[in-house]
Amino acid sequence: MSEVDKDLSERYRASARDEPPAQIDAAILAAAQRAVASQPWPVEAPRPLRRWYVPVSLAAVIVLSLVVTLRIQREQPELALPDAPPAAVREKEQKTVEKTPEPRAAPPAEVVLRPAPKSAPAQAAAQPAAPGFAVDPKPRRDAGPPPAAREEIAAESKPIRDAAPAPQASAEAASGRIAENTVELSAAAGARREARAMSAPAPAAPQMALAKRELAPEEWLERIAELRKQGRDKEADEQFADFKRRFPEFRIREPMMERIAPRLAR
Amino acid sequence: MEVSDEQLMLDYAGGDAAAFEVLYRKHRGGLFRYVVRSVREQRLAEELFQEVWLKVIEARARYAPQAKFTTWLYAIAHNRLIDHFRASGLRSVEMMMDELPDPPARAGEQPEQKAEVREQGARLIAALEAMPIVQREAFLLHEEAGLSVPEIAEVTGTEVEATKSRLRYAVAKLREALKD
Repeated sequence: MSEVDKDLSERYRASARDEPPAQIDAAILAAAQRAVASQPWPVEAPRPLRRWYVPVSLAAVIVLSLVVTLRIQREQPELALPDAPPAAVREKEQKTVEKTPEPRAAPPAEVVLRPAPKSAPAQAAAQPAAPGFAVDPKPRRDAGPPPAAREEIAAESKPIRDAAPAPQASAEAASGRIAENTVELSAAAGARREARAMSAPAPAAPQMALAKRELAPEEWLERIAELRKQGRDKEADEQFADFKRRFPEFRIREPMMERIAPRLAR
Repeated sequence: MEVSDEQLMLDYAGGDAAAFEVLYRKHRGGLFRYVVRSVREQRLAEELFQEVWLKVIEARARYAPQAKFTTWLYAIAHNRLIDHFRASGLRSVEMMMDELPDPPARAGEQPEQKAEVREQGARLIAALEAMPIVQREAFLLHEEAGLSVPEIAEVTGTEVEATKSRLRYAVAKLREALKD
């Protein structure tokens, strides 16, 4: 199907003979040569490898995501540091402790880090200075002031609570068992910090850098539009310029262009 | 056997500068006319033309032959032209609707000389340069890039029917100009 008849086409071709000047030709060809000369190896991997890039990258991303997710999930209980139990519970536990024979050995670090059942006698006995520790898996991060009943044990358990920022202080302040727990908790806190850092939102710049690498063009444009909406024009302009470098052939639809175009061009 | 444009571009991406030269020689005329007819100003057209090819060079590593090389090349050129029109303060509505004033005189050509031109080809070019940008673009992509209507629609991001309609309008105007 041709919308243009042959006669018109021939007449147009006969009259349209413009060509770029020779110096433009030379400049472009020189730029093309410079580009490959400055890069002695091929831009891309050999073709048999190239087709595996995307699936292998995707698989790696999925596996990494799963590992991180599982790790975070596994560590969730560890985030739960003990709060003091109500006084009645403590009394009961203390009675249990009195009746319980001395434990054989200190519980291993893993036991300390996991939420323990409230009646675990070995643990309760192993931590006389901090009753309730490893007994109540209630998260440490809960907001609001502790109940009055907890205040009396606050001093005792302080070294443990402060374990993450200052493990040495806690070691001095508490008994040997608590010191051990403190060290373990310190390690756990470090792991938690790492986990939180991995799951925490990154600063804007790296986030956008990530976007540049991984986002689909449409998603990237949405982010630019969002920056524009927030009045962050400079960032939006930079991102838009990057986008055009990355996807020079991408056709931006008019409604989207209205949302992302630089202010001057509007 | 002739090497396809897509293969030439891949070869260039792999470091073969000679492949680029073949590609460039093949498309330089059509692309230049597309640009110069679109902006109607020689010096500016040269600048934009050069920028388009530099974008091609820059994008070589990311080139994937999912579509014809020509479609890719002209999509880059189209986007560059749109940027230029927007920077000039031209909005899309104007691109679609406006009949443009007579183009500025070419280098070395006086306005009075231009008025004296009676040759058919010149009338054709004048009519082309006076028509709305989107109609002109549809015609140029058809004639210079050899693109089909669906390919033009892809490059310009418009519907096939709208593209067809633009092309028809452009052809009708050019025929009219030849009758004068």
